Amino acid sequence: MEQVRPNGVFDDYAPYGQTPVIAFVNEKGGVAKTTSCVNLAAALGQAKKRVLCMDLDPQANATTAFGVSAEHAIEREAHCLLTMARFPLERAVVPTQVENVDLVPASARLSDCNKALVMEVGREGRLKNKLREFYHSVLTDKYDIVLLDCPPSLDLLSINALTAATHMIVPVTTKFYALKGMALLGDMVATLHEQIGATVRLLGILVTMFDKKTALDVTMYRLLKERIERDYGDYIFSTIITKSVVVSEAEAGGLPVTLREPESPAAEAYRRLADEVVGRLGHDVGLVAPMAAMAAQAN
Amino acid sequence: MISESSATSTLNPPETKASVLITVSTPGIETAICRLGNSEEVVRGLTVRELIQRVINPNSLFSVGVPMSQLQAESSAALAIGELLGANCCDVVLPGKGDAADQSVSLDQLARAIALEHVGTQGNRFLNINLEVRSAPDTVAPTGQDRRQVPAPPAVEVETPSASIARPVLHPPVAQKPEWQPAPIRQEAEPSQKLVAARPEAPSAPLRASEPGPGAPEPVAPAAAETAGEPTAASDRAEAAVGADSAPVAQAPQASAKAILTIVAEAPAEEPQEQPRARKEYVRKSDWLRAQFLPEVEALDFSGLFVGNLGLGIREEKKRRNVVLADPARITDLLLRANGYRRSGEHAKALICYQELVDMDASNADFRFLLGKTMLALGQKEEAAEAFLRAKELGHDGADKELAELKRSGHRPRTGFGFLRFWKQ
Repeated sequence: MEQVRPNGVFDDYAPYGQTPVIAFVNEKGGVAKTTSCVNLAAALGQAKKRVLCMDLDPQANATTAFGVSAEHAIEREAHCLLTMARFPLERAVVPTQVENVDLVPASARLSDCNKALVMEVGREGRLKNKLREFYHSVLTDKYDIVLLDCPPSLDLLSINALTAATHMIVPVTTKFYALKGMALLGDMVATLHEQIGATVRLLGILVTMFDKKTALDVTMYRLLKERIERDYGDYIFSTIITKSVVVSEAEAGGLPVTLREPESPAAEAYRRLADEVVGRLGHDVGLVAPMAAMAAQAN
Repeated sequence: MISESSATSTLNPPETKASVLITVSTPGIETAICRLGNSEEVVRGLTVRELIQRVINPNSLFSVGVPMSQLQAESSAALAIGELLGANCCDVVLPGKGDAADQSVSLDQLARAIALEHVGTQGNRFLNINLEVRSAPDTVAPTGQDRRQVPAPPAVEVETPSASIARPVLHPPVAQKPEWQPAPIRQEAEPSQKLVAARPEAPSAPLRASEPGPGAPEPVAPAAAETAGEPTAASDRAEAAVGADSAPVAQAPQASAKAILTIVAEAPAEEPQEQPRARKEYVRKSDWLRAQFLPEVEALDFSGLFVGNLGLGIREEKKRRNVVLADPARITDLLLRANGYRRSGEHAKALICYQELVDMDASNADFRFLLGKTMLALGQKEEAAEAFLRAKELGHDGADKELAELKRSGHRPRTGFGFLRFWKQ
């Protein structure tokens, strides 16, 4: 049954109204999922978008990258959100030092969710339900975009993220194993689509850690781009994240690179990525305002 | 004490490619020649004249290289040149100007001029003197005969420097002048590269430095101890040296070899050009990598990633329809917006969105069906019936029901092909 709320029209394809929930997911580790998620959140925040970043990785690298202390992660974290039925999303949210960006932190305890949720009913949709409750509530401040940082495995945490997400961004390095991980992820998404009706859509494939001086990287990028565009369409972001030590230094300092080194090429690349993401989501074409007005009229 | 090996000369016979290293000794000590030709044979105890008589064949060409470092010590240079000239087997030929004898060039003046010209000259290592040895008309040595078979000259009578020495002025008698043949040296060296011998009146003007020949050996003896002092002192030494050799020549008519001595600059020999290497057939690394990974990448199945965008079995469906899908995100967002408009009752806006969706993917049955529903809501039954018919043709299950509803409501197609199609339902 479709519902109309101030944030727009709610249905199966838009469970949170017009708010996109974007999952950064790839089964292969080390493809800059967390780095891309954190820096994209910061870039969107600088662009005056209200962003909620949810760290679903037990390694808690996104939490560290935002400079959130462990005290917050103990009291409020994604573990509670997923395992405790009465734990609302707004209780897990902590502010960050990045403007317009809030965080649901993680800790190593999050890895216990796989065991804790095994016997639970509707375990794949825990996160989706929490997000839906959050966006159906008229009492909470809403975010423009929600970003989910997934672990490098296709466990219950990733399944929850894929079930809850409306879109997914697949970071991938131009290495063959990363492409294989992407293909395995596709199998998982197809299974979720068939079995539980997941409606996550691919927003784009983000090429990361690209080294244009390496023949392997250039060749693999061309092969991937030709293959995807020929068979599926324009799903590869035109923004390419090149390998840069500045990003790693910024992560170690607890700040996204867009704030620590705003003039660096990496920061510029993430800002371009933010523009491209917003453009693909259609947020810049005035989609939200007419829908909100329309929903108000319907009420 | 008289120093030994004060100057070094090199003979480079262009015909035989042999080189003779001449170490000019001080007067009275006849230890001159170190190496003969390309062989390792070392000949000692010969003067320059003896060298020419015994070693060098008549009618042959030679190149004598005098190190510039030695020329700067002009006394040593005078020694070297004076010994060559004072052997009385050479005549000096000024390039393009005839014999030096015709110009009354004295031996010591010439030697001094050469030395003075090159004192202080940097960058040049050798002054090359091309030498042509010819048999004098009165010589007994047959052509091609080895001059080593010629009897050795008599012992040299060493005169003391204090004695009055006849200056080695080149004034050969005209009767003794051989019939000169065109010197092939001039064909080897360009006129612009030649050094013009100095005139006595202006000894420093005509000589020009020359670039060293790459094949010329490095000086084997250090520079003479004598510094470049007054020309008179140098000329004295030259006189002494020449006098030592010229005396036996004057007494020994059997020194039959005559030579043309021209002073030219040796054109810098061209370095042997490297033969272009046979180019290997290189395969670009990117091409090799592409060939390696293309089958691997093609074998990967990414279709699962796109089920949310394009539905399951998108590859087969895409091939069947041969549809070039537009921006999938654009289609998705447009569909969401159209659905929202329709549910909220804004059918006019929804109609625009659905029409755009149909334009983007004309073979999509869902888009046709939803377009028909919107048209029906706007009262456009004629267009709605057409859209339902098209959706039914594309396989939409709900189109039949909508067409039946239209029939029950009494809708009648006005004209055209749609009339027949509608009533066939």
